[in-house]
Amino acid sequence: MTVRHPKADVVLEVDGLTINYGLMDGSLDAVREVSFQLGRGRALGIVGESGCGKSTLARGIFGALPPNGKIVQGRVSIAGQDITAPSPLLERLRWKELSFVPQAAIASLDPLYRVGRQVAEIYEHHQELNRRAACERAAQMLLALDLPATAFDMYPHELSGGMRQRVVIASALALRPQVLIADEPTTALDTLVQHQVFERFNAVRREIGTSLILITHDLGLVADYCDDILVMYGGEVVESGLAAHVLFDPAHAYTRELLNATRRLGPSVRVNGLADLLRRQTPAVAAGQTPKSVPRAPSSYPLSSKPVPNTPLIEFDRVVRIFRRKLGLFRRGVQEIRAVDGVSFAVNRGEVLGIIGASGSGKSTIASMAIGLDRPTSGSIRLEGDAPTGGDASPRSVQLIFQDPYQSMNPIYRIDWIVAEPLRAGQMRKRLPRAEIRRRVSGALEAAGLRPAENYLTSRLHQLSGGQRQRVAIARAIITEPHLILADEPVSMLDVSVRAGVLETLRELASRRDRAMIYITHDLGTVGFICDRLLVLREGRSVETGPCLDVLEAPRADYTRALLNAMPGHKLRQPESIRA
Amino acid sequence: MSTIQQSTIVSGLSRKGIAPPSFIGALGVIGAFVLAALLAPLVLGDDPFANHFIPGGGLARYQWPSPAFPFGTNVYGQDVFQQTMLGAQRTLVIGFVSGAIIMIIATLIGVVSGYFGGLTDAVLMRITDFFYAIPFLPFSLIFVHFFGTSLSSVCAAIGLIFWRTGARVVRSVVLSLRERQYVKAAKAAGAGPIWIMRYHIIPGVAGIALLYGVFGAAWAILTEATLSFIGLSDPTAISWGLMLNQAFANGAIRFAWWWVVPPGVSLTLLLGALFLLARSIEGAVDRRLAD
Amino acid sequence: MGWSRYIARRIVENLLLVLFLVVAMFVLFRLAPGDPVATIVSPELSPQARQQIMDEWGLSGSLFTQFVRYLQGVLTLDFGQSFAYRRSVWDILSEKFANTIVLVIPSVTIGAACGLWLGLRAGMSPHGWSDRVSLWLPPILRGVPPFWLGILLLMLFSYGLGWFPIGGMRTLGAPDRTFADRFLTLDFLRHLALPVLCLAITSLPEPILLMRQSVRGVLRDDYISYLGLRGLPASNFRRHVFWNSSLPVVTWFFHMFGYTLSTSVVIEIVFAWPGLGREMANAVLSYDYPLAQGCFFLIATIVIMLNFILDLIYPLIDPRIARPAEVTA
Repeated sequence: MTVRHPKADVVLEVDGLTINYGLMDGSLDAVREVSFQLGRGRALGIVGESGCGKSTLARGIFGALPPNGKIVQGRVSIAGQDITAPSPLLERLRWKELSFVPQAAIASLDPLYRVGRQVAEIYEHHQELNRRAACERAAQMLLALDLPATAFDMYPHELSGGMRQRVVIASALALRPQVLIADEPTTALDTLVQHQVFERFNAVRREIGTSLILITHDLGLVADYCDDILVMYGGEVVESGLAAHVLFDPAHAYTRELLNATRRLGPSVRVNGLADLLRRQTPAVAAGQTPKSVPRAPSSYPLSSKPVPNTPLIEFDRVVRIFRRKLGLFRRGVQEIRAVDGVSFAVNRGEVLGIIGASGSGKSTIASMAIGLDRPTSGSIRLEGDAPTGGDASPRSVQLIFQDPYQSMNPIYRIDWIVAEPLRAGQMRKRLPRAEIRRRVSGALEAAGLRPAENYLTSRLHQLSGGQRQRVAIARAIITEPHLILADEPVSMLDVSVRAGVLETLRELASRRDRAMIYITHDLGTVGFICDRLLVLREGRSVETGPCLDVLEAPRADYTRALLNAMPGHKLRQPESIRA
Repeated sequence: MSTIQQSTIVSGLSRKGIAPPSFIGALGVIGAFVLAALLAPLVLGDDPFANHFIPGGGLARYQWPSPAFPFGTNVYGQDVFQQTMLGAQRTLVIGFVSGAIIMIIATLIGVVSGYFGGLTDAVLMRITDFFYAIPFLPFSLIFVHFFGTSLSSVCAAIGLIFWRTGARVVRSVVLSLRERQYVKAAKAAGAGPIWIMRYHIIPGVAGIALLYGVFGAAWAILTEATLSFIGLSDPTAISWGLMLNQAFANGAIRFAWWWVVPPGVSLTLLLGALFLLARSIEGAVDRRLAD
Repeated sequence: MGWSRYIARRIVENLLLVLFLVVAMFVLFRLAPGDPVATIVSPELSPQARQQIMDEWGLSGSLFTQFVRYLQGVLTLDFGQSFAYRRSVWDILSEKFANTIVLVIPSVTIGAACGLWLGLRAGMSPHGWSDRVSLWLPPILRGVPPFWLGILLLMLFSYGLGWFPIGGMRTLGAPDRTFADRFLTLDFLRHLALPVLCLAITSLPEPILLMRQSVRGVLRDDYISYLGLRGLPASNFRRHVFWNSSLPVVTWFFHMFGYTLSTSVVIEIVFAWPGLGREMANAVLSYDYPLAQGCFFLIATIVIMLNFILDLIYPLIDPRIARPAEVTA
């Protein structure tokens, strides 16, 4: 049931909008008959997974469609004025009444100009201020978004991701528009940074009185910050209404599915005790059905805090890794970066250790060292109880699943070649016969969930979806029967509904007795699903460690608490706190 | 044919270049010259320095183009058309051989330097910088003057210089390929440098290497023609540069356009075709790299 | 400050390059087959006279002593005497150098300016006339041999139409005492026109292609569409596009000077222009090694210097070179 507001309060109205893309061999309706109203000062969240048309919708409203995109039907109007087609009116309103925050800030800022200047440009042009006045205004805006005063004179590449996003947000709010459209504004950021940036953003926009259209795939974010929600699938609106209704009394099956997927992978372990926990871990069992993919070994459940049979498979002992970097062209000396600063942990057979950290925490460096691509500056890494080495882990025993299913495999080769590569390239001198390789490849593909394997052997990467590609990556990681699997953000680039499936597969694979897994992520949402123990990293140091449940339910370190608080989706579990 | 198959062919073709017509056209022109070089000795006779005579006994000097001599004759009564066709041989040989040498050296140095980094890279890049500083024409002048104007000497002079640009470009491509996740994944799986170079690096630079091979061929042909024009060529082998040298030296440019135009147009056509071909390859490589 | 450290490092590296160059030249010229002595010394002279002449010309003594003498000479810019002219090589070089510079600088500048303009238009208006021209014109222009182009220009404009003289730097017998007499007369400009036109055309294709490609690439970049999104006007737009596209062209510009210096050898021959290149070609062909060495050295050193200036300018345009990004582990 669409939300309707009294006429005076409607700031933006979209009516029956249909947007069409012309492709090489035909055309595609990316958005079909979408209608909604945006109330004054309110925040509307448009949610959906990749390909649902939400970004197209945003660009269509703003008049920023690519050359082959066209609005073929419908109307967009702002404060009663029609801005559907490009017109002088639209140009006049652009940025002054209607502005846009694009997805990847790094690409939106001109690398050759200082950041402050780029924001000042807006004031110079739209408000016809002279250079000095414009710079003052720009500086004020940047400060309002919690940017340090020094940021004004920096170039985009000198700022962190979070800071760049603040600059872009400052640009969008500069002229105090009536409506702001934000397309995945914080997706690329770490959880903690995302939370900080969004909080500030929301605070400033409410102060100014700007209405917000938030486009995102993250239902948790929408739950926390939006008043109204629109759910999209396949270019159409499948559900819309007040946030409270959509989140807790959804009418459409897709919305329910999306909510389930989000809740399962959310910090669900925080709420309501063990019974809830049991129900959430095996929703199908709770419903009385036997799901197809029930993990084989019950002892893999992170239910008990009793230690799993301990033969440490890999052990980090006070590992330190220092990077030395020259301070650029114009400065003397060398910068020492302690990427990993005295981290110790052990992973036993049969268990899954989760390493949580933001970017800069050292988690990727730890992964590189565990797998043998890098050596510690001091400290030791022991594998399978061998004598401590400098860190040359045997490649057969440790394998790695990378984050990006689009980059971690070479697209010019076929799937069967890619999966077989570890077998053929590895250090085993003896050559396996073709038939044997083929058998093992098929086995690995099937274990990773790609069945029947024959369908995939001769395919190429571009023919597969993100989730399928990641399963290929999994198959490649398990084909050598490693004892330790390292998964570095394996699902963060996948759609929410696909994540659960892939994590299920990973959990299955990890649950074998003789195997262990290290699961590295910045997103606390997924760890409850798969990890036995957790290690929280901050700037190269271990901040907290312990059984997964304990850390999530009762964190001892402030940093861990901050991380948990920063996770979007609180309101998913507290209906009373949602404004009507 | 199903839609999927159709669109694959279209995308395959459009991967080929800025527009398939120019790619085909370029290949066609080059092919025509190859044909001319192969067939000319058979059809036209293989002595480009044969003198022709007018009835009455004198040399058929500076004859205007006619059915007998499509491009006329030069000051020595030699058939310009025959010389033009036969001149293609030396040009094409130098082009292909030098192009191949340049491509191989550039790829080797670029890959080794880019992949191994460190001291190897520093040393190789210093060497490349050094060769970069050498002006190509003065150097080739001196080299050919000292070491003779034979085919191998000219190819050596050219090969020594022109690999420098390709090496730098290949190296920069290798540097970025080296950081790709799939290379790290392969290393993590235990692949050694040979495997990675063979399966991940070299396929990645093949396009660029070919591109600089084609450029190298073009530069080689231009340099050889220039050297011949200056006077540093094998007087027993006919080449377009030699023809222009003789025309210029004899002051024939005042009027004998039929002697001046054909060798120049041939050079322009062949070189233009090579550069057009290079552009097509560049287009295809850019598209590949963007994936 | 780090800036001076950077410059110091580049200076040292370039000096080393020059050193290698000097050594390589020595080796190359000594490897030359043929006896340089034979050109200046008649076999009839007595051994003492021979020795005396060889001493005069610096050809006596072991290879090592010759090398040391050579190095000393280079450091003081003394390349000895030209065999053919019997004058100091350096004197000849400085004369001819000016002639070449006055040819090269205008040519590359004009060619670059026209090419940039055309490339910018082509990049910003796809499918317009400039874009279509930029597709077929550059490859053809690149294929035209510069010396043949020179000949064609002569045939057409000098012999054919008689608009321009057929060669040389000025009319024979014209006054050439002062700088003004030499370079600021109409006569000189008429002689300059064709060679400059020839070299300018040679310099045309690459900037067209580079600029077009660069502009296209920049236009595709998000920050450009972001400018449009924010309602900023076309002038801001053009400014952003221009600076971002200019980097590869700036690099090319400096390389092109070096390339044109090389190519000037053959252009000067075609137009009988008394420049460095022609002098070098003649010197090589007539076995006048000191002069040939001097010319080669000067040309190569200028190329090195040009690269050095490029290194200095580049960070000024692209701040990413000078101040690298913060690192994240």
